[in-house]
Amino acid sequence: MRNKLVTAATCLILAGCAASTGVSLLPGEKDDQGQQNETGAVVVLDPGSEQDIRVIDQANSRSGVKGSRVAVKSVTPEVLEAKYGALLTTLPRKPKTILLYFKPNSLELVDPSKIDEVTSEISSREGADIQIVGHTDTTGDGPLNDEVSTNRAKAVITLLAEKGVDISIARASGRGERELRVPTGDNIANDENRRVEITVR
Amino acid sequence: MQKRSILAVFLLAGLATQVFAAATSDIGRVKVASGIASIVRGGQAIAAKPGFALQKGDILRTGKDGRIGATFYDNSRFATGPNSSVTINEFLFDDTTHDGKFVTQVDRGSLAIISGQIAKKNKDAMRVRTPTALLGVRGTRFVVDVKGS
Repeated sequence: MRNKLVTAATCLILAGCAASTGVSLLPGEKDDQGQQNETGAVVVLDPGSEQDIRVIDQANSRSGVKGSRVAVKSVTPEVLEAKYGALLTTLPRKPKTILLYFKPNSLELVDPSKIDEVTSEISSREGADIQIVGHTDTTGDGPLNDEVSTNRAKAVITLLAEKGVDISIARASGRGERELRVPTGDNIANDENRRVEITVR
Repeated sequence: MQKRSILAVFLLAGLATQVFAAATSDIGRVKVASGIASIVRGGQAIAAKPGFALQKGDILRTGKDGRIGATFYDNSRFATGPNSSVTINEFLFDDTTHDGKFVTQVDRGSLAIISGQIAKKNKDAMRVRTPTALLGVRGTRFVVDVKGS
Protein backbone atom coordinates (compact mmCIF):
# COMPACT_ATOMS: atom_id res chain seq x y z
CA MET A 1 0.00 0.00 0.00
CA ARG A 2 2.71 2.40 0.96
CA ASN A 3 4.56 1.50 -2.25
CA LYS A 4 1.52 2.41 -4.28
CA LEU A 5 1.25 5.77 -2.62
CA VAL A 6 4.91 6.47 -3.29
CA THR A 7 4.51 5.43 -6.93
CA ALA A 8 1.43 7.63 -7.30
CA ALA A 9 3.28 10.58 -5.80
CA THR A 10 6.25 9.99 -8.11
CA CYS A 11 3.86 9.94 -11.05
CA LEU A 12 2.47 13.32 -10.14
CA ILE A 13 5.95 14.77 -9.93
CA LEU A 14 7.55 13.15 -12.97
CA ALA A 15 4.55 12.71 -15.27
CA GLY A 16 5.14 10.15 -18.01
CA CYS A 17 3.15 7.74 -15.90
CA ALA A 18 0.63 7.19 -18.61
CA ALA A 19 3.32 4.88 -19.99
CA SER A 20 3.17 1.18 -19.31
CA THR A 21 5.68 -1.58 -19.99
CA GLY A 22 4.74 -5.09 -21.08
CA VAL A 23 7.17 -8.00 -20.91
CA SER A 24 6.22 -11.14 -22.83
CA LEU A 25 8.38 -14.18 -22.23
CA LEU A 26 8.46 -16.75 -25.02
CA PRO A 27 9.78 -20.32 -24.93
CA GLY A 28 13.45 -20.59 -25.94
CA GLU A 29 14.31 -20.81 -29.60
CA LYS A 30 14.67 -24.22 -31.23
CA ASP A 31 18.29 -25.22 -31.80
CA ASP A 32 19.76 -26.50 -35.08
CA GLN A 33 18.61 -30.04 -34.27
CA GLY A 34 15.05 -28.84 -33.72
CA GLN A 35 15.28 -29.27 -29.94
CA GLN A 36 13.47 -26.66 -27.89
CA ASN A 37 15.89 -24.62 -25.81
CA GLU A 38 15.06 -23.78 -22.23
CA THR A 39 12.99 -20.74 -21.47
CA GLY A 40 15.15 -18.00 -19.99
CA ALA A 41 14.15 -15.31 -17.55
CA VAL A 42 13.77 -11.58 -17.31
CA VAL A 43 14.14 -10.00 -13.90
CA VAL A 44 12.45 -6.78 -12.92
CA LEU A 45 14.99 -4.66 -11.04
CA ASP A 46 14.39 -1.77 -8.71
CA PRO A 47 15.36 1.25 -10.85
CA GLY A 48 17.13 2.81 -7.87
CA SER A 49 18.84 0.04 -5.93
CA GLU A 50 19.00 -2.40 -8.90
CA GLN A 51 17.94 -5.21 -6.56
CA ASP A 52 15.69 -8.00 -7.85
CA ILE A 53 12.01 -7.28 -7.46
CA ARG A 54 10.57 -10.18 -9.42
CA VAL A 55 11.93 -12.89 -11.68
CA ILE A 56 9.71 -13.57 -14.69
CA ASP A 57 10.52 -17.12 -15.84
CA GLN A 58 7.18 -18.49 -16.98
CA ALA A 59 7.06 -19.23 -20.71
CA ASN A 60 4.03 -17.85 -22.52
CA SER A 61 3.41 -15.14 -19.98
CA ARG A 62 2.77 -11.47 -20.23
CA SER A 63 3.65 -9.08 -17.43
CA GLY A 64 2.80 -5.47 -16.82
CA VAL A 65 5.60 -3.56 -15.10
CA LYS A 66 5.44 -0.14 -13.55
CA GLY A 67 8.39 0.68 -11.30
CA SER A 68 8.32 -1.95 -8.57
CA ARG A 69 4.84 -3.25 -9.40
CA VAL A 70 4.74 -6.40 -11.51
CA ALA A 71 1.64 -8.31 -12.61
CA VAL A 72 2.29 -11.62 -14.39
CA LYS A 73 -0.41 -13.49 -16.28
CA SER A 74 -0.41 -16.59 -18.48
CA VAL A 75 -1.31 -16.25 -22.11
CA THR A 76 -1.64 -18.86 -24.85
CA PRO A 77 1.04 -19.21 -27.54
CA GLU A 78 -1.72 -18.31 -30.03
CA VAL A 79 -2.30 -14.96 -28.35
CA LEU A 80 1.42 -14.17 -28.40
CA GLU A 81 1.64 -15.26 -32.02
CA ALA A 82 -1.26 -13.02 -33.01
CA LYS A 83 0.25 -10.07 -31.18
CA TYR A 84 3.95 -10.52 -31.98
CA GLY A 85 4.14 -12.89 -34.95
CA ALA A 86 5.16 -10.16 -37.39
CA LEU A 87 7.68 -8.73 -34.94
CA LEU A 88 9.29 -12.14 -34.33
CA THR A 89 9.68 -12.76 -38.06
CA THR A 90 11.70 -9.51 -38.20
CA LEU A 91 14.34 -11.12 -35.96
CA PRO A 92 17.45 -11.88 -38.03
CA ARG A 93 18.39 -15.52 -38.70
CA LYS A 94 20.35 -17.31 -36.05
CA PRO A 95 24.13 -16.99 -36.61
CA LYS A 96 25.77 -20.13 -37.99
CA THR A 97 29.22 -21.42 -37.01
CA ILE A 98 31.30 -23.42 -39.49
CA LEU A 99 34.52 -25.23 -38.52
CA LEU A 100 37.53 -25.42 -40.82
CA TYR A 101 40.21 -27.95 -39.82
CA PHE A 102 43.92 -27.61 -40.61
CA LYS A 103 46.69 -30.06 -41.42
CA PRO A 104 49.31 -30.47 -38.66
CA ASN A 105 51.88 -27.64 -38.51
CA SER A 106 50.25 -26.05 -41.47
CA LEU A 107 48.09 -23.24 -42.78
CA GLU A 108 46.47 -25.62 -45.22
CA LEU A 109 42.89 -26.76 -44.84
CA VAL A 110 42.22 -30.47 -44.49
CA ASP A 111 39.27 -29.99 -46.85
CA PRO A 112 39.76 -26.89 -49.05
CA SER A 113 36.24 -27.20 -50.52
CA LYS A 114 34.79 -26.46 -47.07
CA ILE A 115 35.45 -22.75 -47.64
CA ASP A 116 32.60 -22.80 -50.19
CA GLU A 117 30.20 -23.63 -47.38
CA VAL A 118 31.26 -20.36 -45.76
CA THR A 119 30.88 -18.27 -48.90
CA SER A 120 27.43 -19.69 -49.68
CA GLU A 121 26.32 -19.06 -46.09
CA ILE A 122 27.51 -15.45 -46.43
CA SER A 123 25.69 -14.92 -49.72
CA SER A 124 22.48 -16.43 -48.31
CA ARG A 125 22.26 -13.66 -45.71
CA GLU A 126 21.46 -10.02 -46.29
CA GLY A 127 23.94 -7.65 -44.68
CA ALA A 128 26.10 -10.57 -43.49
CA ASP A 129 29.13 -10.16 -41.25
CA ILE A 130 31.56 -12.80 -40.03
CA GLN A 131 33.66 -13.60 -36.97
CA ILE A 132 36.83 -15.61 -37.63
CA VAL A 133 38.59 -17.21 -34.66
CA GLY A 134 41.76 -19.27 -35.06
CA HIS A 135 42.73 -22.11 -32.65
CA THR A 136 45.57 -24.62 -32.25
CA ASP A 137 46.18 -27.89 -30.48
CA THR A 138 48.51 -27.98 -27.46
CA THR A 139 51.79 -28.89 -29.20
CA GLY A 140 54.28 -26.05 -28.84
CA ASP A 141 54.18 -23.24 -26.28
CA GLY A 142 51.48 -20.64 -25.71
CA PRO A 143 52.99 -17.61 -27.47
CA LEU A 144 53.85 -19.71 -30.52
CA ASN A 145 50.29 -21.01 -30.66
CA ASP A 146 48.88 -17.49 -30.41
CA GLU A 147 50.87 -16.68 -33.51
CA VAL A 148 49.90 -19.88 -35.33
CA SER A 149 46.20 -19.41 -34.53
CA THR A 150 46.35 -15.82 -35.76
CA ASN A 151 48.06 -16.95 -38.96
CA ARG A 152 45.35 -19.58 -39.48
CA ALA A 153 42.68 -16.91 -39.17
CA LYS A 154 44.64 -14.77 -41.66
CA ALA A 155 44.90 -17.72 -44.04
CA VAL A 156 41.10 -18.02 -43.95
CA ILE A 157 40.70 -14.30 -44.63
CA THR A 158 43.00 -14.68 -47.62
CA LEU A 159 40.99 -17.66 -48.92
CA LEU A 160 37.72 -15.76 -48.51
CA ALA A 161 39.13 -12.70 -50.27
CA GLU A 162 40.27 -14.92 -53.14
CA LYS A 163 36.67 -16.16 -53.37
CA GLY A 164 35.50 -12.59 -53.77
CA VAL A 165 34.21 -12.00 -50.24
CA ASP A 166 34.41 -8.35 -49.15
CA ILE A 167 36.48 -8.84 -46.02
CA SER A 168 35.48 -5.52 -44.51
CA ILE A 169 32.59 -7.61 -43.09
CA ALA A 170 35.08 -9.73 -41.08
CA ARG A 171 36.38 -9.52 -37.53
CA ALA A 172 39.22 -11.89 -36.70
CA SER A 173 41.29 -13.07 -33.77
CA GLY A 174 43.59 -15.91 -32.76
CA ARG A 175 42.99 -17.66 -29.43
CA GLY A 176 45.98 -19.99 -29.47
CA GLU A 177 45.41 -23.11 -27.35
CA ARG A 178 43.03 -21.45 -24.86
CA GLU A 179 39.80 -22.92 -26.15
CA LEU A 180 40.21 -26.59 -26.98
CA ARG A 181 37.36 -28.28 -28.77
CA VAL A 182 38.58 -31.60 -27.41
CA PRO A 183 40.19 -31.26 -23.97
CA THR A 184 43.74 -32.70 -23.94
CA GLY A 185 46.90 -32.41 -21.87
CA ASP A 186 49.80 -30.24 -22.98
CA ASN A 187 51.80 -31.17 -26.08
CA ILE A 188 49.11 -33.35 -27.59
CA ALA A 189 48.45 -33.17 -31.32
CA ASN A 190 44.73 -33.18 -32.05
CA ASP A 191 42.96 -32.86 -35.42
CA GLU A 192 39.82 -31.28 -33.98
CA ASN A 193 41.61 -28.61 -31.97
CA ARG A 194 43.57 -27.44 -34.99
CA ARG A 195 40.85 -25.27 -36.46
CA VAL A 196 39.31 -21.94 -37.37
CA GLU A 197 35.73 -21.25 -36.31
CA ILE A 198 33.76 -18.93 -38.54
CA THR A 199 30.48 -17.50 -37.34
CA VAL A 200 28.34 -16.08 -40.11
CA ARG A 201 25.75 -13.61 -38.84
CA MET B 1 57.70 -33.45 -34.26
CA GLN B 2 58.28 -29.91 -33.25
CA LYS B 3 55.86 -27.19 -34.14
CA ARG B 4 57.52 -24.26 -35.79
CA SER B 5 56.03 -20.88 -36.32
CA ILE B 6 54.29 -21.20 -39.61
CA LEU B 7 55.00 -18.20 -41.76
CA ALA B 8 52.81 -17.64 -44.71
CA VAL B 9 53.07 -15.22 -47.53
CA PHE B 10 49.81 -13.36 -47.37
CA LEU B 11 48.96 -11.84 -50.69
CA LEU B 12 46.42 -9.74 -48.90
CA ALA B 13 48.40 -9.15 -45.74
CA GLY B 14 47.41 -5.50 -45.60
CA LEU B 15 43.72 -6.34 -45.65
CA ALA B 16 44.13 -9.15 -43.15
CA THR B 17 45.92 -6.86 -40.71
CA GLN B 18 43.16 -4.32 -40.98
CA VAL B 19 40.61 -6.97 -39.99
CA PHE B 20 42.70 -7.85 -36.93
CA ALA B 21 43.31 -4.25 -35.90
CA ALA B 22 39.71 -4.18 -34.62
CA ALA B 23 39.99 -0.45 -33.98
CA THR B 24 36.40 -0.36 -35.07
CA SER B 25 33.64 1.00 -32.90
CA ASP B 26 31.06 -1.15 -34.68
CA ILE B 27 28.88 -3.27 -32.40
CA GLY B 28 26.58 -5.06 -34.82
CA ARG B 29 24.76 -4.82 -38.11
CA VAL B 30 21.30 -4.17 -39.46
CA LYS B 31 20.02 -7.32 -41.15
CA VAL B 32 16.38 -6.50 -41.90
CA ALA B 33 14.72 -3.17 -42.67
CA SER B 34 11.32 -2.33 -44.07
CA GLY B 35 8.90 0.59 -44.15
CA ILE B 36 9.93 3.82 -42.47
CA ALA B 37 13.07 2.73 -40.64
CA SER B 38 16.12 4.75 -39.75
CA ILE B 39 19.18 4.81 -37.57
CA VAL B 40 19.59 8.11 -35.74
CA ARG B 41 23.25 8.93 -35.04
CA GLY B 42 24.38 12.28 -33.66
CA GLY B 43 20.94 13.74 -34.33
CA GLN B 44 20.95 12.68 -37.98
CA ALA B 45 18.60 10.06 -39.39
CA ILE B 46 20.16 7.57 -41.81
CA ALA B 47 17.95 5.12 -43.73
CA ALA B 48 18.32 1.63 -42.20
CA LYS B 49 19.60 -0.94 -44.71
CA PRO B 50 20.90 -4.51 -44.33
CA GLY B 51 24.65 -4.43 -43.68
CA PHE B 52 24.61 -1.00 -41.98
CA ALA B 53 27.15 -1.11 -39.13
CA LEU B 54 25.70 -0.02 -35.78
CA GLN B 55 27.54 1.88 -33.06
CA LYS B 56 26.94 2.61 -29.40
CA GLY B 57 24.50 5.50 -29.01
CA ASP B 58 22.57 4.71 -32.18
CA ILE B 59 18.79 4.95 -32.05
CA LEU B 60 16.69 2.47 -34.04
CA ARG B 61 13.63 4.48 -35.05
CA THR B 62 10.64 3.28 -37.01
CA GLY B 63 7.44 4.88 -38.26
CA LYS B 64 4.11 3.35 -39.14
CA ASP B 65 4.77 -0.11 -40.68
CA GLY B 66 8.52 0.28 -40.13
CA ARG B 67 10.66 -2.63 -38.88
CA ILE B 68 14.36 -3.14 -38.16
CA GLY B 69 16.16 -6.40 -37.40
CA ALA B 70 19.78 -6.33 -36.16
CA THR B 71 22.40 -8.81 -34.95
CA PHE B 72 25.11 -7.72 -32.52
CA TYR B 73 28.67 -9.01 -32.18
CA ASP B 74 27.77 -11.12 -29.14
CA ASN B 75 25.10 -12.84 -31.34
CA SER B 76 22.22 -11.04 -29.61
CA ARG B 77 19.38 -10.33 -32.02
CA PHE B 78 16.85 -7.48 -32.00
CA ALA B 79 13.64 -6.77 -33.87
CA THR B 80 11.89 -3.43 -33.51
CA GLY B 81 8.28 -3.11 -34.54
CA PRO B 82 6.43 -0.07 -35.94
CA ASN B 83 6.40 3.33 -34.19
CA SER B 84 9.38 2.45 -32.05
CA SER B 85 12.39 4.23 -30.64
CA VAL B 86 15.15 2.04 -29.23
CA THR B 87 18.53 3.42 -28.11
CA ILE B 88 21.68 1.32 -27.68
CA ASN B 89 23.09 3.08 -24.62
CA GLU B 90 25.99 0.75 -23.92
CA PHE B 91 27.63 -2.15 -25.67
CA LEU B 92 30.91 -3.64 -24.51
CA PHE B 93 31.95 -7.12 -25.56
CA ASP B 94 35.22 -9.00 -25.14
CA ASP B 95 35.44 -11.58 -27.94
CA THR B 96 37.87 -13.63 -25.88
CA THR B 97 36.20 -13.80 -22.45
CA HIS B 98 32.62 -12.98 -23.52
CA ASP B 99 32.45 -10.48 -20.67
CA GLY B 100 30.49 -7.42 -21.57
CA LYS B 101 27.70 -5.00 -20.93
CA PHE B 102 24.68 -4.31 -23.07
CA VAL B 103 22.17 -1.60 -22.10
CA THR B 104 19.23 -0.75 -24.31
CA GLN B 105 16.48 1.79 -23.79
CA VAL B 106 13.03 1.34 -25.26
CA ASP B 107 11.30 4.72 -25.23
CA ARG B 108 8.30 3.65 -27.25
CA GLY B 109 7.03 0.82 -29.38
CA SER B 110 8.16 -2.79 -29.26
CA LEU B 111 11.43 -4.69 -29.15
CA ALA B 112 11.87 -8.46 -29.47
CA ILE B 113 15.15 -9.79 -28.13
CA ILE B 114 17.00 -13.09 -28.37
CA SER B 115 19.91 -12.62 -26.03
CA GLY B 116 23.47 -13.65 -26.87
CA GLN B 117 26.82 -14.27 -25.25
CA ILE B 118 26.88 -11.21 -22.97
CA ALA B 119 23.72 -12.30 -21.14
CA LYS B 120 24.92 -15.90 -21.12
CA LYS B 121 28.26 -15.09 -19.50
CA ASN B 122 27.12 -12.72 -16.75
CA LYS B 123 23.80 -12.45 -15.00
CA ASP B 124 22.19 -9.06 -15.63
CA ALA B 125 25.05 -7.80 -17.84
CA MET B 126 22.30 -7.21 -20.39
CA ARG B 127 19.67 -4.69 -19.36
CA VAL B 128 16.67 -3.03 -20.88
CA ARG B 129 15.26 0.25 -19.65
CA THR B 130 11.82 1.63 -20.38
CA PRO B 131 10.10 4.77 -19.07
CA THR B 132 8.60 2.63 -16.27
CA ALA B 133 10.94 -0.31 -15.75
CA LEU B 134 14.48 -1.60 -15.44
CA LEU B 135 14.89 -5.20 -16.64
CA GLY B 136 17.78 -7.63 -16.28
CA VAL B 137 18.06 -10.24 -19.03
CA ARG B 138 18.82 -13.81 -17.98
CA GLY B 139 18.47 -15.43 -21.30
CA THR B 140 16.69 -16.11 -24.50
CA ARG B 141 13.52 -14.82 -26.07
CA PHE B 142 11.14 -12.08 -25.03
CA VAL B 143 9.32 -8.95 -26.15
CA VAL B 144 9.23 -5.58 -24.40
CA ASP B 145 6.57 -3.10 -25.37
CA VAL B 146 6.03 0.42 -24.18
CA LYS B 147 2.70 2.12 -24.58
CA GLY B 148 1.46 5.62 -24.14
CA SER B 149 4.57 7.57 -23.16
